[in-house]
Amino acid sequence: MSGRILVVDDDRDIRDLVAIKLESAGHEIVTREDGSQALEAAVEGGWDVIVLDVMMPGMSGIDVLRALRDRGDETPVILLTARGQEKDIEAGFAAGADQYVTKPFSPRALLARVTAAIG
Amino acid sequence: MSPLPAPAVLQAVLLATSAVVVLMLIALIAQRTLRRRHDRRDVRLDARLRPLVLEATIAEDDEIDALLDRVRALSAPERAHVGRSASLMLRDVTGEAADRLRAVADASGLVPRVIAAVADRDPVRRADAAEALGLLAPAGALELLQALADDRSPEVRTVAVRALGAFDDPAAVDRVIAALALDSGIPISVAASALVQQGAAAGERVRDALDHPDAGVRRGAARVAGLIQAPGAGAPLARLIDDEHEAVGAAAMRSLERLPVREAVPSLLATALAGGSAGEAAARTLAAMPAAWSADALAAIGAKGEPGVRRAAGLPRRTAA
Repeated sequence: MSGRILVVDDDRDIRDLVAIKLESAGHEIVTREDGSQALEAAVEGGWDVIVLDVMMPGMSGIDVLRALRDRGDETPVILLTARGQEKDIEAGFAAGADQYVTKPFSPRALLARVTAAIG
Repeated sequence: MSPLPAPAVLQAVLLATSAVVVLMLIALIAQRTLRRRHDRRDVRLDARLRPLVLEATIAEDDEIDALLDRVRALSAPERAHVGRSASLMLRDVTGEAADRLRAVADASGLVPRVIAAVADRDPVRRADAAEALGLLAPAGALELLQALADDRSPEVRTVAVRALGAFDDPAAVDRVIAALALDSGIPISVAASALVQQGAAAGERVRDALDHPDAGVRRGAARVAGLIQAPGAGAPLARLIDDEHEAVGAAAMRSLERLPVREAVPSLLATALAGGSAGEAAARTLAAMPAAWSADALAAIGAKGEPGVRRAAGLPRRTAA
């Protein structure tokens, strides 16, 4: 099953690596490179999954996620982050994340999580 | 008062100074022009070659050889660019995509350049080589990283030890454990993270390091033992609660929260009743243990412990009689 996926990361390598892997599985990908652009795109709606970096300049991924959940948006969100400490993972899920993936990451495993999130 | 130099001398000095300033300006402009040209060339190469590197990360088994042949057919500057791109992307990914990027880097001829850089006089280049060896893991990388872990530059040693985290060979584990020593010049967090990355492969050696004569090694091993669930580490950790170095005892108590053993209870109780920050750490560890083991100790803390220690044990405040 293919889906429409928003990929947000300020690191171009990661954005492109995620995008090419998900596109190769037939998903439609839109990329954004910072938190405010991400929120703007996310509130437009129509996403099956959002893959969201946590540490970005300006608005963090956690801020974007909280803003989305405060608006009642229940789109599945996969946080993709270099922060793998227990307290970071707790903060991610507390903000409303559905999945938490730490960098360095396996694009193949990320695709499996996206596929599962789309259902 | 000394007489002023002759006007001709002053004129000569002025002319020489002006010439130096003009030459410096020309050099600056030339340097900027070259850098801009170099940047533009990089942008052009990137636009053309980046898709090739990205494509490799999703290539199927029957597609990868043709793709690697395309890399080998590129010019030397193009291959150098591909190698750099693949190396940078390798920092972000694991699994199949990382294997593909390693193959691309290999096809680009990056490995011989990295190996040559190990002997470079510049410590920055040697550190870059150490990082690349960890990411690319070519044949012979382990031996080269072991040598770099003894480099005269502490920065190079630090990068080499971090890179050794990617290897689960016993020799790599031993070298990382040695880096925990107090006089290694390598931050404990770097060596400890490398051991966590080595995971189960480091388990038995980390357990053995709990009895090491160097307090830094004992402290690092004690911290890591709980994180990687080192088999058989519970009893030695319990002994380390009373180590002569407070930091070793603190690390052991943190690990015992994840790796509890009943024989640690008497030492933990004694430490808790002695109070202070060590007492609070001991109380937290007791509170994390199965109630059947810790109930009596927690009751004793409730009766005789300092307020901070009781709080750390999760006990209610004592009410006034």
